[in-house]
Amino acid sequence: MDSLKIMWGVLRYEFRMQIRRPALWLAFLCFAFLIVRSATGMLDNPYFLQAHLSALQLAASLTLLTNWLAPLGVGILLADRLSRDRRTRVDELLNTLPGTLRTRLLGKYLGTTLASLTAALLLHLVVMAFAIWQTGNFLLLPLGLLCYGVIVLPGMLFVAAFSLACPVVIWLPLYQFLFFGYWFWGNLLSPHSGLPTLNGTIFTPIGSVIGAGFFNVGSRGGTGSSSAVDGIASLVALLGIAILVLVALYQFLRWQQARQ
Amino acid sequence: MQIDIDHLNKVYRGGVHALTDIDLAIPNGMFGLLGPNGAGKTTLMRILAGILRPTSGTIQVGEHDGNTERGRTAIKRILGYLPQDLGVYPDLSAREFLDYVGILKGLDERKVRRQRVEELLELVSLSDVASRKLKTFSGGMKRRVGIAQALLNDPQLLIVDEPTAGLDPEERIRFRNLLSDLGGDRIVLLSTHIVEDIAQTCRRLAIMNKGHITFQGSTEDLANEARGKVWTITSSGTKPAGDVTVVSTMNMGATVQYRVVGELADPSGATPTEPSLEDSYVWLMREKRSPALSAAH
Repeated sequence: MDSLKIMWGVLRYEFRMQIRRPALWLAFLCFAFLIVRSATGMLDNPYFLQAHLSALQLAASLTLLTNWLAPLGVGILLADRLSRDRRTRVDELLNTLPGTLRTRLLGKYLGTTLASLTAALLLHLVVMAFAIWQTGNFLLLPLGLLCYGVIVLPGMLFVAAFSLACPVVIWLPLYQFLFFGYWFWGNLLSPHSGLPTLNGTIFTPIGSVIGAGFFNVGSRGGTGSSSAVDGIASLVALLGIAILVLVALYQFLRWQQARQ
Repeated sequence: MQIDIDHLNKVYRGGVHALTDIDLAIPNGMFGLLGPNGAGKTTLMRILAGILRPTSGTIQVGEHDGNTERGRTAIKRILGYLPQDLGVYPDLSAREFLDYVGILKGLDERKVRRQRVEELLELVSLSDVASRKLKTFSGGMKRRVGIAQALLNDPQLLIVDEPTAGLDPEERIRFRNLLSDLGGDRIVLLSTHIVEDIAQTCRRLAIMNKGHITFQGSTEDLANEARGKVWTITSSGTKPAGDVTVVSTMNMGATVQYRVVGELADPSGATPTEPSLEDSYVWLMREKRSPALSAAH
């Protein structure tokens, strides 16, 4: 029995089930509307135009703009994936199958995350296409993809790991509500607002520290003054925490199974 | 292959004794597990399927030790399991769902897996609706998907928990015949509270009640348990007196015919009747409800 093939199979089906969800596309359609409106305002802003941003910085700024909302959709729509197995009672059947829990869990994480990221990438491409139309600079497309990989992916993998794991111990609607609150508090609240926030620290999944560190651009409410070292630290912290959360989830589910 | 269960106990959190000192030997072929709701059948099935861990006792399935992680994994490789309430992903089609379970069962070769899925869809007569989403399936159709997924790996041990509950008579007959066909060269463990299902399919069975095995043997042995205790009596409507359980009541117009199990106060006028499996089951359940046994619990 080849664990890699099983994981790939789980990944394909989890991807398929997530990508078919109308809620995913509806959410990202709404985001596209809001973000294109914001991008229009940004590209028309005289201050922004006078900043003489390079194509790479413009791509990074637009990526940060896209990332205001996209992870929110990913996090909320991914949160029900494990609880759905319990709700539909599929978990009873799955637990009698020889494919291991680790393989299933990893396949589920990667499959559902990739499906959600596909929607987020399409949203990103829409924003880039709009910017190309506005500026006539076709370089924005490859640079936008580069920025997507560097700025968006670490935070998304971080958010996806928490959204898969937390509803195992928290009531799903409560988690979704708390996640919604966390997103605005920990990512969009300015560090200068006087309220304590995670925004501006290396634990900010919105990617503002990575964006500032690598591309010297800031998002609304972000610091915009992080170093490349801060960017690397943020990238490593987000990915490292995502891995830790997944390991903890696996251990918890194993412990839960053993108690039954 | 044979399953040997020795001194098996399961105590749930909160001290609920679901299984108490179960000793059971299950040989190759169809084997029935009969008992009322809450008897502990599903707990036993779930332990055998590796979903639950026993509190104490041993399980040996062929050469595999069901008490070790390695043994449980080995058992899962030869197991087909149809739970009482089969969960499915509603947005997958029957074909996709079977393919997915096939992957998890380790059918690595895509071509072989797809061929197996098509064979099983044919076997359970779902080929023409195989592309429909499972959320559009009736209970009977889902049950058929369930048996198909259980057979994907051609299991040596097939566990089916209450497979005919909620099915219409035609579906039930079809399902029983399918299970009988499968019982030739493997262990098929059929758990049910419907005596007729066992009577039509199994030669050997065990009866469970309140977490205990109260009978194990052949269907003939079970039928003999109530020999001399089953009576048919016709009256004008007065229920038969004595320590009896009425198994059936048939209104004949002016008179009523009763079939009873137990000791009649006055056997004159009653006709001794050949016991059916259901009569014996009722007799056994009556016996086990006696105060002495209740006190032992």
